[in-house]
Amino acid sequence: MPTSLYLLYFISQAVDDKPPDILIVSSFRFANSVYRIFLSAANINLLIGGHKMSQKLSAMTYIKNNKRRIAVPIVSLCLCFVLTYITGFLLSSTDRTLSSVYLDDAEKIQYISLSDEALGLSYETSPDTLEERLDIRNKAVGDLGKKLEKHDGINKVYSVNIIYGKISPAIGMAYITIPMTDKDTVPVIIDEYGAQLAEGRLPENPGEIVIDRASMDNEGDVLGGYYNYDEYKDKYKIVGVLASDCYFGCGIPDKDDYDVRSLLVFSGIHDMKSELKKENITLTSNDSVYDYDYGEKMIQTEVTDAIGASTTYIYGGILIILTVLLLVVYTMYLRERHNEWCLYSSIGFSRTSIYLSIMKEILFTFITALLSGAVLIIISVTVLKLLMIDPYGLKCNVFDLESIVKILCAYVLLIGVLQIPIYYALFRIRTVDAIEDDLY
Amino acid sequence: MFEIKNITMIYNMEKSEKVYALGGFDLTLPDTGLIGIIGPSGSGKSTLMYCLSTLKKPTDGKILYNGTELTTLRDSEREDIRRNEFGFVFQRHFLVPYMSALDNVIVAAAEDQNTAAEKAKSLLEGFGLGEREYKKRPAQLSGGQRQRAAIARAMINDPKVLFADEPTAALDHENAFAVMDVLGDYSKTRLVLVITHDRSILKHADRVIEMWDGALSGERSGEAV
Repeated sequence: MPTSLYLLYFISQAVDDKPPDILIVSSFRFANSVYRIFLSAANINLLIGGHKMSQKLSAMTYIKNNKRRIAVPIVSLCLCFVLTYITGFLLSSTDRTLSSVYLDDAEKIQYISLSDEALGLSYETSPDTLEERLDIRNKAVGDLGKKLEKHDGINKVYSVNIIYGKISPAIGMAYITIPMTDKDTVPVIIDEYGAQLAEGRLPENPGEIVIDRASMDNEGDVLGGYYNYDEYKDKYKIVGVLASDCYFGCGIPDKDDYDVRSLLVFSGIHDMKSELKKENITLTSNDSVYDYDYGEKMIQTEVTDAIGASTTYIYGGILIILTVLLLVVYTMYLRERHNEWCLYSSIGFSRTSIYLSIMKEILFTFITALLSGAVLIIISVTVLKLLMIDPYGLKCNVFDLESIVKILCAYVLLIGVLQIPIYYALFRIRTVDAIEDDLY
Repeated sequence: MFEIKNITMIYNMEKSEKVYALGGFDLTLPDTGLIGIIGPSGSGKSTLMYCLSTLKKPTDGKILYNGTELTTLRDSEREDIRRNEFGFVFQRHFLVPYMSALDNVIVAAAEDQNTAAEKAKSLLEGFGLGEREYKKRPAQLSGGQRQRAAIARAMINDPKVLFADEPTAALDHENAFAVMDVLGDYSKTRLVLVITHDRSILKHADRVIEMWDGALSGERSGEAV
């Protein structure tokens, strides 16, 4: 018979009772099946080894007869598991969203905004009018762009104006940079970025802009509305929606905008400052280089430093509450079963057998909680993503490996902590003669 | 089966007033038969049973069981003997409260679950506990039914020696004799040691050993008792 049929046979044989709650029923049944498959494998292994295994203390007898009692730690563990994962999931929406703004985008494009000083322009040589000054400045920016374009790893450099847009995750806020250029360059930049027009049209007139769907959802913008109204009022009208992996937009500057150029660099270079150094550009605090290195620093400040500590407190709090709860519950349960274990010891079961039966019960509890938790998490994450993440254009990690590792580590820790009351309970086991000596 | 030499059990060894539960005597017990041990409270009969069944270690003396010296065995070896060779009926039934009568019998079994279940059902039915009763928990059973379930648990592994400490203490006369009949039947092929201070239940015993103040004070046949 193939192995799969054996598994199905074991699973069908394993289910023999009906606990009250539907979720617990499924979890009990599945965990029961897994548990029995393990036991069967252990038996087969022992038989291959040539030893006849004597009957061990069964954990299932206690579980079968004490469903409600077992349900208490299962529900507690399950809820903490779900709470830990959901916390991680919601915080990941901030982490992932900010990473998308600061890192994913910077993998493709970088922005350089330099001061007159960095460009080597001084007031003494500058003309009197602002327009003339801007012309000289923008020419210097353009020249620098041409030089940078010759560097290895830099694909294309555009001299553009920039405006800023907001992205608001659950915690904090980030700004995205939107290049503004002439009508003919807009489709080139969009194409070079890898975005596509999904709805509406490309900008044709000053003050028109196209933005990706996620950015619009995040700010509650609509096609035909105005971009970043809080900041720019009705300056930039959204005429098209882009399909893009990252938050991105592009437009034509408003006719009243000052023509202050920055550089939009298409490259995979993480450290753009080094490239500027090669052109003898000395950067000051007035200069901005939005590259991958800058993104990493922002992630460190905005996510790791700000959210990391609170995350640790949340996980720590959950773990402490759960540990105390489990210690109290298990100490109570173990105390109630003292006479039972004294009987087992008297009729010849070793403390090791008793310990193993307790551990089997605990493993059953933890595995059932884990499986029930996994089902609840899939449901909750799907619902939360549909209601709280997607409508706001946020990014998230549906499968959060870090949270799973944390949960598994917490489980190992909890099982470790439970060894204290178990050890104490085993230590207190006496044979029946000692109990009766006390009585008479 | 048992050869007991100079068995001594002293409680409160560390204190000045020592209590001699067993004062140092010799005794031999056969492979089969119903042996009664009677005596008043404090005469040392329970201590003797616990020493023979490896639950207690005597302070001095030897207990040979089929040639094996029990007092020098390691804990794990004593557990093995208790598990594979001996059966126990304690003064209190010590049934596990959350288990059914059937599960209480099966829990002691050394065989696989299905074989043990069949055997346990047959034992319980033999003791007058039908399907309705053996699905009940101890709290739902009468005192007699509990004791019979405890005896069934003691017999589930066909022990070579069955130790019964006041097995009829909680029973009325009718139930007490019914239980003794069961133990009497079992003693035809095995050794059954019954500790009691109710002489009337030992009338079919093969031997009755009398104890007084930690020493053997006499021995008679059951009929003589």
